[in-house]
Amino acid sequence: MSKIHTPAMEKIEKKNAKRKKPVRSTPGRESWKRFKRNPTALIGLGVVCFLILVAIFAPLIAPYDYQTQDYSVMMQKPGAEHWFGTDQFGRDIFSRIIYGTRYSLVIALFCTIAAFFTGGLLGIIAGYFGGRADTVIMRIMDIFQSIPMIMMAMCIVAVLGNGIPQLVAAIMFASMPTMARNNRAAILRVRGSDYIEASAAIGVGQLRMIAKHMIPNAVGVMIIYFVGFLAVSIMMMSSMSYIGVGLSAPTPEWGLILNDGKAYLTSAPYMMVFPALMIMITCFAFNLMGDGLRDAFDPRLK
Amino acid sequence: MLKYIVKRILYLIPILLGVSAIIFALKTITPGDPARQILGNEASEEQVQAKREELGLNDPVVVQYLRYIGGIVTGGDFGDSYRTGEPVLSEIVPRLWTSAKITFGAVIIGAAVGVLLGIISALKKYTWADSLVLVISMFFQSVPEFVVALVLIMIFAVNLHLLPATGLESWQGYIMPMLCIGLSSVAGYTRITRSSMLEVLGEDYIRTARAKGQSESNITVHHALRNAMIPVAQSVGTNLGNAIGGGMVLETVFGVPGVGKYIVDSITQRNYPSVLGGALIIAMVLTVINLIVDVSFVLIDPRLKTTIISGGAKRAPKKKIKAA
Amino acid sequence: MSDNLLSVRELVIHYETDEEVVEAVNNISFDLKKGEILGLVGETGAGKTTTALGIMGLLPPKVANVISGSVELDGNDLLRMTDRQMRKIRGKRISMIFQDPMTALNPVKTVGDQISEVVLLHDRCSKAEALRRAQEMLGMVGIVPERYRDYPHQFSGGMKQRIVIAIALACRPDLLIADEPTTALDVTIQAQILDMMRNLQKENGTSMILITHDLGVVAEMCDHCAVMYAGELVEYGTVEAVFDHPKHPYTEALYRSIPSLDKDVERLHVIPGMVTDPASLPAYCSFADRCGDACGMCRTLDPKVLDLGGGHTVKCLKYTSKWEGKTDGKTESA
Repeated sequence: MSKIHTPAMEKIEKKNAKRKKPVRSTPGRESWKRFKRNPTALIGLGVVCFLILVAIFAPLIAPYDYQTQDYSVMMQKPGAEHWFGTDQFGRDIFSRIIYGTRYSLVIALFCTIAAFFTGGLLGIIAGYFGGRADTVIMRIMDIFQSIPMIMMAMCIVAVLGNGIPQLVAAIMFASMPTMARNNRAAILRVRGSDYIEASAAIGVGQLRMIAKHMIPNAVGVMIIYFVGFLAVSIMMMSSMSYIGVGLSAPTPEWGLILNDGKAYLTSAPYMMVFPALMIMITCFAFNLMGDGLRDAFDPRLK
Repeated sequence: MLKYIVKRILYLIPILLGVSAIIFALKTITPGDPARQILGNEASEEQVQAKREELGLNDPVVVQYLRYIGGIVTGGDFGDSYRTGEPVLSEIVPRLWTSAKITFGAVIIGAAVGVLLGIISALKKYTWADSLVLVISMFFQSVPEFVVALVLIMIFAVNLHLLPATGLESWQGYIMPMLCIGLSSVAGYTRITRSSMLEVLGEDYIRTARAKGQSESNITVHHALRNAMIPVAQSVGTNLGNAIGGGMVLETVFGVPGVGKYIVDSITQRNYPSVLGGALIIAMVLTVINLIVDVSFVLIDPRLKTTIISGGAKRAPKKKIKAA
Repeated sequence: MSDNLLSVRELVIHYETDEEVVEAVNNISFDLKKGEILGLVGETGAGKTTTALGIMGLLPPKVANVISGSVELDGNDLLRMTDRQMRKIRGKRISMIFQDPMTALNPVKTVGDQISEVVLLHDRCSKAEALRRAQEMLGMVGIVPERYRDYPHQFSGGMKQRIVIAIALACRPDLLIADEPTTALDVTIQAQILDMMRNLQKENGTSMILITHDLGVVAEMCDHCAVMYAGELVEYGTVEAVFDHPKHPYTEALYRSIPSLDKDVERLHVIPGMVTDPASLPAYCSFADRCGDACGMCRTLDPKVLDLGGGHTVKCLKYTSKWEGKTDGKTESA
């Protein structure tokens, strides 16, 4: 009911009439609702899901083995036999890229988990306990921060040598300060809220406080960082392996495939086009999804 | 004011000590015996031992660290390159200038484009122009610089023959490296500018200006922009770190004889003193630049000046840190 | 009616979002004579500020929508003016003082610049002349003119509000809208600021709309008083009429809820119920659900504004023939 009727009101009434019975609203459901309304985020999510499927079913999708060298079909242009062409060793680039999805996603996942369990945990400790623990941890992170992230990772790989575990360790160490800072901020924001003070005032125990109040409220922001960092680690990984630091042949990592094609940039540009596209699409999709998650979990951050 | 600057400079000391400690720690876990590296494989075990003694490698780690620091402070001794035997510092300084030129240009490009897009995006909020700006800038943020570089090389060097693919022989050589590093930081600036513009435009003093009868364009330029630029300026320091990191990869892609390429080359050659010495020098330069950026805020924001002079603020405002 | 400076007629303002329509201002009409002060009273959310912003043409674009009505300044409808015409009026003919002086001034500009800005915009003069005028204005509001080079953060809250007033009065406007100018200030400062405002108003012959929820301030400063409830003007008249003979049950309830020192009462009088949600106003009298005097017809009809004589108007069924309830005593409230 209202004093006078306007077109805007009618529009809303129509919308409300169409709506089914209200569902019970939870923060998770609200976030999903916001996420669903964001077309770019849905595209990102779709691409990421597709990539995950590709990674899981790589052996079924890839028509050739990713490291079998066949000198009878060297440097072939994309065609029916080899969709993305072959490289200088006659390896099928399509198959290498499909398997590359596996490597890129799994390594990125390891890097992110490792970073969360080191830097992230340090940040949570600093944020939750505050005081001296906070000061000590964050000052050390300040020091780490003064070395640019990718340079730090390269220095560590330089010392440890190439290889997947070394690469994961390098990216983990390099990202520690950023991780710590982000997670600390997330915890601090929750800790400073009135409802935490209110629960403390009615005598909620420390463990219950962490489990029931702080983690559920901070978890949204942490998921955002998690997805965002997956993209960052794929970027770092491919950048490093492209310039020959981190992973070594014949790993079918996208950056390395690009590195293989580097010498043939003018004669066989197709060798670089497809892996470059894959990196672009993957990183972009993760970022779109992360951005959508940010808007969904925390509309204020936008 | 002076007190604040002195305080900030003193704050540099623990940071620089810490950074050098990290680098030193990496140095000590480096595989291979430096003495053996210097003398080569033909040298006898006695010769290597003697060299180790001479280099002080048999001393306790703490003593070695103090000697390392001492060398840096008194003689700028960041170690000698395994390859040439030259001091790392003298190899890096000429390259530093090349890298600085590119990084500086990239920061200017990134900030200019980013701030402009951010303002457009804020003024046209929630329209298609806003969404387009955000998606495009995010694209350049999420794609690794070297991929953008490869695409640019394919277009402008291989196909159109407009720009050289590598090298800095002519001024055209600078264009693509600057553009690539710059574009990757555009998104960061766009985002910060947009959100800070939106925040400022919602402030009461903007309403006051409107109530005075001021025009929207004047309000944007004279009232909103200067206030909105404060967080943007604060983000320059962080972006600078990213630009230098991105520069390392791009210098290799474009064959630019800068510090980044020097370090990457040294990594592939297992030339550890050059890698770690170079990293330490970069970190030091970066820290000092960050200090300068922080101090220069005081000139933008009159509020900070009084709080700092009166000793009200314990620390400079914390920067917002964002990955990549 | 030629001495009316401002004349608001049947103004309706809605805030429209995707989720709901908020009926912020519903069909209000009032006049303001030259040199007069009108007090606009009402609870938070009654639409006082929206009315003011509507007059200024400063409603948030896209969200706020003027559905109908007119706002005439000397016979010219402000709502039909272009942005450019409106800009010439804002600051020059109508000025506004906002609630919170702490945030109303630009932190990175000197107060001198901020005062001279409005002078430069509307009066043809040099920068030096405008700055001189800014200093003069500072002196007028009781601040040492030499402080024109200082930044807002160097002033206290009361001083900032003085500066805001200096900006508002710099071009000698015909109408000053003061939106709760003292709410954010200490009680001791409040009196000073109000005193100064009244003196400046008298000196310049400025008309003023004073928005407040402090009835005491209205009694002391205003000529006319308008009581707003849920976006409607429920009672309007001279301060004497409205204060001595309140007619609308809401106005009466407002007076009863003022704590009194004379009478020793156990509890303060409370108006039952919550402020009516402006996003879902009833089709009948908006106050009926909280009204102690409401009868059955009150929940069916929306009363019209009724002139009780001498310009004292009230929007209540009680004074019409349709009234069914007892003239005294309480009926149950929902």
